[in-house]
Amino acid sequence: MNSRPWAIVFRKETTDAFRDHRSLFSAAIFCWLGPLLVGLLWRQPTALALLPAFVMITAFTGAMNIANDSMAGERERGSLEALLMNPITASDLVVGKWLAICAFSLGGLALTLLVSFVVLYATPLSARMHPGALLWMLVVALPLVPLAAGMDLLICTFARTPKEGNSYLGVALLAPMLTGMLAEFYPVRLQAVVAAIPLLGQQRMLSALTRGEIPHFAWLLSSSVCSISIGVAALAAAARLLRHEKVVFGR
Amino acid sequence: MIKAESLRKWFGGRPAVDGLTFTAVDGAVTGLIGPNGSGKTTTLRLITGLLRPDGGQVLVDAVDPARDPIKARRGIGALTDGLGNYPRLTTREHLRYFGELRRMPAVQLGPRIQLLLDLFDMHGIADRRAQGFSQGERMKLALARAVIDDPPNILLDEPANGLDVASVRALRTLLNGFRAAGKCVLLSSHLMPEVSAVCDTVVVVARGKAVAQGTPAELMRLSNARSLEEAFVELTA
Repeated sequence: MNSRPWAIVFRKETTDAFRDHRSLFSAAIFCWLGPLLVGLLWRQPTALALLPAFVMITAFTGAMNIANDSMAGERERGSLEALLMNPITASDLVVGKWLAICAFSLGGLALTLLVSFVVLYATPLSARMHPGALLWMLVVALPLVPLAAGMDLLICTFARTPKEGNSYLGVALLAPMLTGMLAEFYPVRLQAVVAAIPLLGQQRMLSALTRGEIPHFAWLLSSSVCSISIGVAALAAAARLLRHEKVVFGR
Repeated sequence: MIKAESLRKWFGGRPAVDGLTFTAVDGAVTGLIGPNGSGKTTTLRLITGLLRPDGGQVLVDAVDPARDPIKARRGIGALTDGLGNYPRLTTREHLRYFGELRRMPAVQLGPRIQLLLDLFDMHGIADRRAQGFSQGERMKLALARAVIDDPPNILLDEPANGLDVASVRALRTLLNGFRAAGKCVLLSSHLMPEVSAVCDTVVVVARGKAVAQGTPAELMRLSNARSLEEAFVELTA
């Protein structure tokens, strides 16, 4: 029995991206860097306040390289045209690519939390957090995966070249970075409405976890629904963009 | 069979294809020749439905790619100008990927890949990644990929570009095989010796219009030329 077209695209994209060792290495650096910095600053009372920003950033950095290569890179190589000359719909194509990007974003997130686990238990920082805080962090940050994958895919579908894609992705990375930092300096009280705002909601919940607080189920639900919806909307927008001749041929 | 009728496509207020009409029949190699920028690649993109015409119509085995691009593409295998290979995938992986995308059953795909590896003499590069392939190897891979499911209509955009003598001869043999198998082959090129050697019918395109159509001999007679190259220069002047 034949796989669905999106599953075929997903399989190809993940195989292809796993072989891009340089990109994997650069994405992995981000995953190590943040938690290590938190570990080095363990004597500071605010050391753990840095962790939410790093966790959020890695969901995006994990997705960046594969999104750029699989969309803007595909166009630059001329393989997008060759691919679209086959009987495959734009929707199947972007869903397959989006799922592959999600897998790498999730990988980045999981690696960051794994390194955080090692760092926290190698230093006295673990005493300041709830024992299951890192697992909770994964649950809170998980909806960022489809969001980051969708946004990065949309950006790279719009970008004409990987170089252009890189500049846009760099700007987009400011969103989790600035939200992560500013929300620590100007803390907004965590409530259902705040939790539903993508990035801000996750930052407040991750921050609460570093203080030993567990987020309410309703906050988690509203945060997940909003972030996943935006990710899926970005995915639909990317599929729509691919139906435009100018986008396919990068004019 | 591919039929184009009064086909028009404009880019930024300029016509790229301007009322082009021609028919490429089954069991023949039809050449689409013209100078650079004459609309050959745009025509091939209109046939696959990647571009929508501003006027006129294309029919691929009676299917309009502007209305049902997926159905039209099921009957088309295309070699694009940019080749579009993936540097980190092997030859075998490329063929498998495109075969699966074209919904080939697994029981047919394996033997078909073997057959194409034989046909294109690619056993030496079957499990090598495409990064570092020579131009000839890249071209052979893209060609094999285009015909992975043995489509009835084959579009080839400048297939002889960058090929060495041996590869060009192999390409000719391949095109003769397609003709004998009853395929409709539409080949765009600006290499006249190539076109003379393989094409049954030639459509000469200039400024988006078909300025002449016929066999290479007919075109030479029409323009009082001794070679297709001379005829081409005369007809496109």
